[in-house]
Amino acid sequence: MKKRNIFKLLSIITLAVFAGSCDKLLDVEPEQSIFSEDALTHEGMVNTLYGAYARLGGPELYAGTSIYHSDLLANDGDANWAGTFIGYRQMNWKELDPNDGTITAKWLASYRAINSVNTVLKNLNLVNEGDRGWVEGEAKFIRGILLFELVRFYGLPYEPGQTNSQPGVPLILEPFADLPSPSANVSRATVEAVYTQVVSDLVDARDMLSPAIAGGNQGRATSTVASAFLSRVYLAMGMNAEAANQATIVIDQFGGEDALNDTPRAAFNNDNYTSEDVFMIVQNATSNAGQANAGIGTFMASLPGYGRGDFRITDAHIARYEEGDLRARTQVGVPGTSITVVREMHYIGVGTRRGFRMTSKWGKYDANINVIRLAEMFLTRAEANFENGSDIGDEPLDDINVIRNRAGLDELEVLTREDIHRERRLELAWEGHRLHDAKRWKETIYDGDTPLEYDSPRLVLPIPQREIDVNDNLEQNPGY
Amino acid sequence: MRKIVILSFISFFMLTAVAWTQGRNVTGRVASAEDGLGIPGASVVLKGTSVGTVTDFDGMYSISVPSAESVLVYSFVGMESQEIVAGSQSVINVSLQPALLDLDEVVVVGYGTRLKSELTGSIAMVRAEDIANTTQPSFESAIQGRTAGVYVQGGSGKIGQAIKVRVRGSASVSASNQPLYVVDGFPIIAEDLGTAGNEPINPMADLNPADIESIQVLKDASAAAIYGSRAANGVVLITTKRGQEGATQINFSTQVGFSEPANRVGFLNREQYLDLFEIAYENAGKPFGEESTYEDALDWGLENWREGSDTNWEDQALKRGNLQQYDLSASGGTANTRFYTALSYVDQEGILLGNEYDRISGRLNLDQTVTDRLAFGMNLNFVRSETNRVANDNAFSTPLQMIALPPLDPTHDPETGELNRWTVYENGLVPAEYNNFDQEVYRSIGNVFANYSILPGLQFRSEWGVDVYNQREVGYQGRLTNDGGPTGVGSDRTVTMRSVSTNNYLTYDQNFGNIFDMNLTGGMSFQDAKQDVASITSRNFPNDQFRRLASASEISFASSTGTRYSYVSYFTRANLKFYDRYLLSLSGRVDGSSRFSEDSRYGFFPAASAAWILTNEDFLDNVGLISFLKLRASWGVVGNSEIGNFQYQALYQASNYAGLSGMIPTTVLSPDLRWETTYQSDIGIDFGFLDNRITGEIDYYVKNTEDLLLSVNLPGTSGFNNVTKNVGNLRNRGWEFVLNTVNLTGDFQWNSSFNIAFNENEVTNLDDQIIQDGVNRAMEGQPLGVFYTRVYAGVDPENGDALFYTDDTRTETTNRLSAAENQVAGNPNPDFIGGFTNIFRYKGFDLNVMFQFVYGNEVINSGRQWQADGLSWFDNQTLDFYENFWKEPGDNTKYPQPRWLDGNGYGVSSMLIFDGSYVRLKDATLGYTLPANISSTVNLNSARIFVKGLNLLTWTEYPGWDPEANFVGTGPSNQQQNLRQGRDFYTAPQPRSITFGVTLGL
Repeated sequence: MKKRNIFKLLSIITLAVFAGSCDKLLDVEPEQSIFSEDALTHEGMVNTLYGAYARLGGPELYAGTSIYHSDLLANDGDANWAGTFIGYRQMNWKELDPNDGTITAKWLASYRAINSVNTVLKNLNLVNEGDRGWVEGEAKFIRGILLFELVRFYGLPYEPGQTNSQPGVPLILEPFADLPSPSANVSRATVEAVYTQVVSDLVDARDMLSPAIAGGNQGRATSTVASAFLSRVYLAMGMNAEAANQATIVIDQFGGEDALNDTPRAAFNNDNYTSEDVFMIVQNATSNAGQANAGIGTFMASLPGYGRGDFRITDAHIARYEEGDLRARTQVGVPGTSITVVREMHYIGVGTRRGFRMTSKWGKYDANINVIRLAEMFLTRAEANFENGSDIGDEPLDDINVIRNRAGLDELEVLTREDIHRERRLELAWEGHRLHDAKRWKETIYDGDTPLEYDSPRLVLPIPQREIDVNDNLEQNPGY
Repeated sequence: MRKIVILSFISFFMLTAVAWTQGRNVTGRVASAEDGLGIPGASVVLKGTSVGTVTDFDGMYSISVPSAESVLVYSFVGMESQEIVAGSQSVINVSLQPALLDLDEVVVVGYGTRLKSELTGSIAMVRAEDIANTTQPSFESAIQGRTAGVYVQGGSGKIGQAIKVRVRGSASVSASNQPLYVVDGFPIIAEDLGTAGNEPINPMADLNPADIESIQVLKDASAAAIYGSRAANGVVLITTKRGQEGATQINFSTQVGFSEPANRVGFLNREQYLDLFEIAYENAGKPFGEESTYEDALDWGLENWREGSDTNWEDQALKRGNLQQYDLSASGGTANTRFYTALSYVDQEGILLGNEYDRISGRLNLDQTVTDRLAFGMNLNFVRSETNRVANDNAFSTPLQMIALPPLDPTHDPETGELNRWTVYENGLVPAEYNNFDQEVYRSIGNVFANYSILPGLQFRSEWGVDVYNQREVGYQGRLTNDGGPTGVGSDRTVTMRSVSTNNYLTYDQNFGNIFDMNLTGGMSFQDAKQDVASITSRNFPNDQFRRLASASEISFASSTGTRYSYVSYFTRANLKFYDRYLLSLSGRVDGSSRFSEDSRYGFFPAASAAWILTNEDFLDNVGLISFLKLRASWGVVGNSEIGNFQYQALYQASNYAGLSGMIPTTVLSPDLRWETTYQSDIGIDFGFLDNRITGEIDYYVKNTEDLLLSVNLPGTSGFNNVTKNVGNLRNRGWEFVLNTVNLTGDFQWNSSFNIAFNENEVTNLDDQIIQDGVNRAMEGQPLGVFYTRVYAGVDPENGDALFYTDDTRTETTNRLSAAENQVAGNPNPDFIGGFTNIFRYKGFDLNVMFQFVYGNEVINSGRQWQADGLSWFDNQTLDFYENFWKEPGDNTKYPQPRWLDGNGYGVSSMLIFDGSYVRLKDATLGYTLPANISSTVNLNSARIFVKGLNLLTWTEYPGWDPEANFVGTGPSNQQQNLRQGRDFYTAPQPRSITFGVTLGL
């Protein structure tokens, strides 16, 4: 009887002890993450800055939409879109859907990176004094280029010399704080205000950074890279003297035209830095925009095992080139399996959907993605000087002839505005410039037979529907 | 943890070391009241204990009885149980009446059992014989249509695919809606652990259905609340077979047969395709110029079209599969040691090219009675399964996407004779030839338990279980495939998950004659689950003969991750019975989950229920018509915490930018995150008429979920997409009816069972949030997952344009899809579901015919934006389109005028939404049991041969392969699985199979 009571007691005690000790077992810590408070260190902030770079290279931004959103939306006959994925097809038809996945993804990825760098900027005091300058410079660089990317896709075009009160995108300059965060229910700043911020950020970046990262990673910001982006921004704003000045800084830093690769084709599909690369997204086997349904080559290549050949270059495009232009050539009969054996700027596809003309620019899923090439600086300076009536750095005719020389063409003796535009269009084809250039040049883009003026709302991306749904202060673009 | 282990050993030794006293022996015979023959295998149990025995071949038993007050419970499957007070008798002979209804069945209720007649909650039950000889690898398919209010939906006809189970509707938006699966007392690993690159798999398929003794689905809160925290979606209790005292019974069962797709859609042949193409080309205004013909377009798009091929790609993708399965079991034992062992092998080829499954599993369930106070035992199940998987439905390489190819594309390249790689999309035969993806699972589910009777009526039970899941996925994509080219891609991924659980509880039974019965339970349980994943992908192989990563020259992806969660729970329950007719049950459970912060991790989940057995009242005692009548009412609170781990914390993850490591903020602090809570009320009637020849149940329930664990959208400008917060409410309410009838008795027997369940789901409050996932939405005032898209208004009879309503007034139309407003355009939730089973027996013959139905749900067949788009590209079209498109002014047709490249009506709209209602002859089995005198001549105890048809017939208006389709995408989150309802995207139909089988009792 005694034994029985003892046992009864023990059973109850056992239960009670289990109860006590188990509570601690609910303290489980993540293995692939750290708590945000643990990120608030010098190292944490430097790493957060690096993390923002990882966002730039995704298919949502420079390795994807930055290129095809521009070139598909502005496409009026230079390419055939042959894929049946609805989002891209609609973009080619200029019938955009605010629910479209890539339009939403671009917005989200941009602001995620902006939040990262805003976090760094807010906590600069944690960064070692000696590193504070470049950390701040690179952080502002990323914020500047992303705001520029956003405003020119989601806002009506910048009109030089006007007030530009048309809505741009929300200006987020503070990191996320606990809910309700100031960065949540924001409204759109004017296009003017966004450009002002972009210039301010890029000027700061230029002034805080060195011209080159000593022995460092080439896919990051330097003072020179900031100047290159500034030249783009100033050109878009019609501030031509400043654009020419910034382009000159870059060209001089690179040592002039000798830095251009020997052939136009050589600038693309490189695993390593080439002398012409001003800013690129560095990719490698383990870090790239992806091979399936994502990276730019998926659409633009048709090689064995790579690309779907959706983006087919038409005869109409080839007809724009002059006789003898290296950039017009099409290689027939690709002998091997990869883009490296393609010597010309175009080739007849040999992948799944073979037999169509493809651009050679995007043929390798893990090659670096050119964002700014030196060639663009010559073209920008030529255009800016031409419009400005100046010769900052060099004569526009000389700059255009630099590009023509490399393309195997005779030098021009007289330069017209059309020459500059054509040269830029051909040299930078399928690199994501077309939509922005067409808007700056106030060109008409055709949807079949329907002309769309440069400032047509149908050439502006809609604000993603999810943003409209969740933020009452956000105004949708006209036409959606 | 270490502390627990040590303590458990200590307590275990305590348990075994204790002494006991021997009672006096009672012997007797248990016979059938029908024929007076002894019943072998009947159980004789001392009430309120686990002490008992089973009768031998002649129905004889012997049991030690501690006192004269002891009550002996005599029971046998299919018989009415009897309770007899031992008194001073030393011989007790009992004759059991056949049970016409199952009211006296013992029902497993979680930490205990109860007689069905004494249930106060709503529990659906499936017995072993209902799912015997199923040819579906996972038991959920086998219970489809057999349990009222349990909606079972196969994702597709691919084998091993996850199966959606919803008990009384979806109760959550962002947290899991799958029920909790408990096998022999332990929650087991039921989540998808497959690669994120494919659709979810079903770890429940590791459980051999033939080992299952019974399945109980706890539907209402009072039944489920004892599993409080995790019971919001219902609890599925699975009990495996156990040995009974007596001679060893060996059973062998085998089936062989074949399966084929339950349906074919039908696409154009060469002649029809050319005809339609010409029409579409002309209608589009000859895109290649006035002088051109449609042949120019074909020359441009289809390089081998002139070869004259007429390929039926549907036949290439779908095939006949063979299946075979073998089950061998042995069970029996002595009074003190009882065992059940089983070995099973299943080998199935799917109906899709390249989809196969095999499983070998073994089980040992052992019970040992040490003394009349102490018993222990163990259950051990080990499984090895292998699935050869095909790509997800949204991959060009998945077999069924082959049907997009025009019939003009030849399967083989006419020049080389090799598989044709120049088709308009990837030729699925190429990946089928060169790719493989093998998923191999080694799994052990085991537990040990001990039962100790502390005092008469007071017992302590301790159970310890592990579930160890080892999965390996080895894949290779060949050099000639789109995904693997040009040099081959190999992958190797391992997942190890282990779950350790324990339940420790006391139960106390006390019986005060006919006046008052009580059963008290109290204890704790703990579960800790840990998961580790390692994965490598490499490329650059010398050739396709090399498929393992050692042969690759470049690693393109390498990762290893780990995660963990744990639950601590304390529970108590009181079941009270007064005067054999008033039943009351109260329960409470406190649960702690690692998924919430320290301040809010515990939740309290109480429940109360009551029932009144009217037929035990005097006034109904002699009403011959009514043999049983019980009213039930219950109320309770249950919880859900099935969200990802660590969602309440603000976290940073690592990032890789071409070798530069960095960090990215990933989640936002949500410190107040707490349990999602479901309040459920249920009232019900259980009835039996005409000596229980007609029995049934009627239930009405209201299930209100509050503080939804909602993945709340944040403005993207914040830098985050969403945060998990407790926001919003959701309601399910509905009716369930079950009617069982014994239609004919005697030589020709006919029993029927019919169930139907109506559930109305409504998201009642989301705090103005719109949760969208593609075409599906969660929005206030609508059922979860409604289709939100443009509404097709038919064809303009004048010009053949597809028309869409501009807005939700549905008055104005437009021919521009993008000018039409999105609106609620369909509901993927069914109005009602159910099943109807008929069993006929005549002499040795038995026929089981089971229908299952789903009504009122809609399915969006997104593949049809290419399969019936009037050739906006080169995709082959359905015959249905070919027969119903607009031809000339005045035509009133279903489909618009086909226009090549133009996309007249192309895009997502309600044109793709169809009624998904169906009635299916799910199971038809005809068997013949050899007379005993014949089977005994070949030394068999029993022998039955049968032929079984699965999914033989389906009645539906749905124009796709199968309305039972749900493509939830690759690696979907819980929310995605909840929202993505009714999606068909080149989704494979369920197989229709015919098998021939033999069951032998040796």
